[in-house]
Amino acid sequence: MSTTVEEIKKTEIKKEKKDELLLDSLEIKGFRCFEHLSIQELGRVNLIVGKNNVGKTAFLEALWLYTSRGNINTLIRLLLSRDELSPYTGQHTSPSISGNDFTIKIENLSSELRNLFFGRRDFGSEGRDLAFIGSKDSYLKISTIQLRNENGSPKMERGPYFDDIWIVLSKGLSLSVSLVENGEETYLEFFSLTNFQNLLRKPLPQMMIQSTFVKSNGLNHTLLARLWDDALRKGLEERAIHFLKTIAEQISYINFVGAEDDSSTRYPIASIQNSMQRVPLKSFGEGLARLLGLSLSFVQCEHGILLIDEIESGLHYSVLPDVWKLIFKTAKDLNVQVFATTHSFDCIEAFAQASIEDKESEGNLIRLENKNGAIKAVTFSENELETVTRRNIEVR
Amino acid sequence: MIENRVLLVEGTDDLHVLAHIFKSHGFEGKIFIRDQEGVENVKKGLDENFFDNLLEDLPVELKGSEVIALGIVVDADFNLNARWRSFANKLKDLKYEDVPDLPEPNGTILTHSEDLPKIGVWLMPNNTLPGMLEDFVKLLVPDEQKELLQRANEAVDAIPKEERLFVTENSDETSKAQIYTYLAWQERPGVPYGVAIREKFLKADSPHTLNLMTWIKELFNL
Repeated sequence: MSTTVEEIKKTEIKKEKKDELLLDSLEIKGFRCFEHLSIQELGRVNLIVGKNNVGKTAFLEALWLYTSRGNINTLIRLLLSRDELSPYTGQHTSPSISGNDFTIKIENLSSELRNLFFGRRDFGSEGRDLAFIGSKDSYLKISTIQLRNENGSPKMERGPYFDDIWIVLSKGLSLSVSLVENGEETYLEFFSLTNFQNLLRKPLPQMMIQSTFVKSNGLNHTLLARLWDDALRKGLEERAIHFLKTIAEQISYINFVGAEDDSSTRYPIASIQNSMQRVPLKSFGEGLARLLGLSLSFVQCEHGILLIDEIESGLHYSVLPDVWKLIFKTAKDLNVQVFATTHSFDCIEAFAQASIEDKESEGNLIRLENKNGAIKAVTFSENELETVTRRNIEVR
Repeated sequence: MIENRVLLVEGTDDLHVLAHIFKSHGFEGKIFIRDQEGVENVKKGLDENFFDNLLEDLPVELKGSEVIALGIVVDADFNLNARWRSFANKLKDLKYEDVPDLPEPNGTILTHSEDLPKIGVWLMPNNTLPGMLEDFVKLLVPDEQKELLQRANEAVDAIPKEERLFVTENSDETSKAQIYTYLAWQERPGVPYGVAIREKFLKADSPHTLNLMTWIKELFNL
């Protein structure tokens, strides 16, 4: 018998995976609750499910760290978002580090950083590998390294010795972040754990991956407004508005208003079809603001990775099928790989349905579960999702 | 911790018989019984494919959440050995340990070499004889009613061969005709199997049911 349409379709999907997906498999070692999590196959759109406390959010955090290439600001934001680090307020008399949305004390950072790694062990005084995140071909490696001052010049205790970095004299342990691609290791960050002086400043924009992390409580106004401006610049704002129409057909356009000199005061207003009315988007309820955040994030991470925590939050179950349909389509159109988490059974059902119906983008369901104290992943491919739906198998 | 005990059965009749037996043994609501009728209609619209589809979908069934064991109850049909062989081959492929050449007479239970749940197989009626659910149901007839069953059997047998609509080229449902005839002659004529168990026209504590329950209890750690 000759090749069936079904077989051709499968081959094409496989081809797409190899050619286009940023991550076709995933290993997380040593990060947060994951001692060693291994997922053989990922889809273009991936839904992560599982009970409380199995690391659904940590899974997204790992990917965020991967896409931001272990950036120190990302490490700090991860700690801040879980209250593992407190913002440094008041008089800044101790050494501190600031980003555009935070200021923290250095002494707090070096002691709290261990929260990000499996077992939360103290870093001690000897260097060791802390975490690996990524696929077999391309992964991020986070380690501590002891720089020893011998004969007046610093020397690395282990790891490749590279002469193109500027090493300042540094006592004690350093944290290094490197990207290993096809066996070749490139150091991205290298800073002393005592003073957080960065010993390595290698701007590597080509190694970055665009990504947005949409938290369960959504995006703040400042970020939303910035994403809107980006969408306008890219001419992709219509796509974002199209998302909103799945919930509220009457919306014809969106804009942002507020004080010109203060972006935090800018908020979205909606134009209503066949009407001169302009209504603040929030007055439609949480759902629309959530969807606007999602759609703008999508546009923002074209050719990148979109991370959505508790995707169902603020959305009524009846709109979930349409939302997933749009996500599958947009993911393909904008070449975005999507990772979302959910608690909701309706959301899983709608996802499975959209995944089966969408012929272009492969959907993958990942259940995280605690097996004898270790977090493991059970995955369901799109074909298996069809079986799950047909047989009514419990996958939550 | 939630423990899901999943039992896959062929049709709604199987489901009702087992649900009522479990209930009378005090296991109501402990085992999630799922019949395959809706499933098959969606997939291929062919009832006969039930078994092949089940084997094909088994790996996905085993990935269901918090499944501590998966039980399967199916008819042995005409050829018990052939049916078992299909199971055995699939279970070997899935790396189940010590898959026997013949089904265990008291129901088969297999453990996995890695981390798949336990799996149990029961071939109706009793893992030894060819047959179907109805042959098992006939074994539940109380002793004092055996004579009535005998009459029902004779009544069915009295129908000339060419007029037996329940026997076709592909299937022989004589047992079903006999047990329905028996149920037609009860105090409340014509109740379904499940109700018949509740009304004690069929015994939930016959030796055959006890065998089945021993298998169920061991499989599902009850």
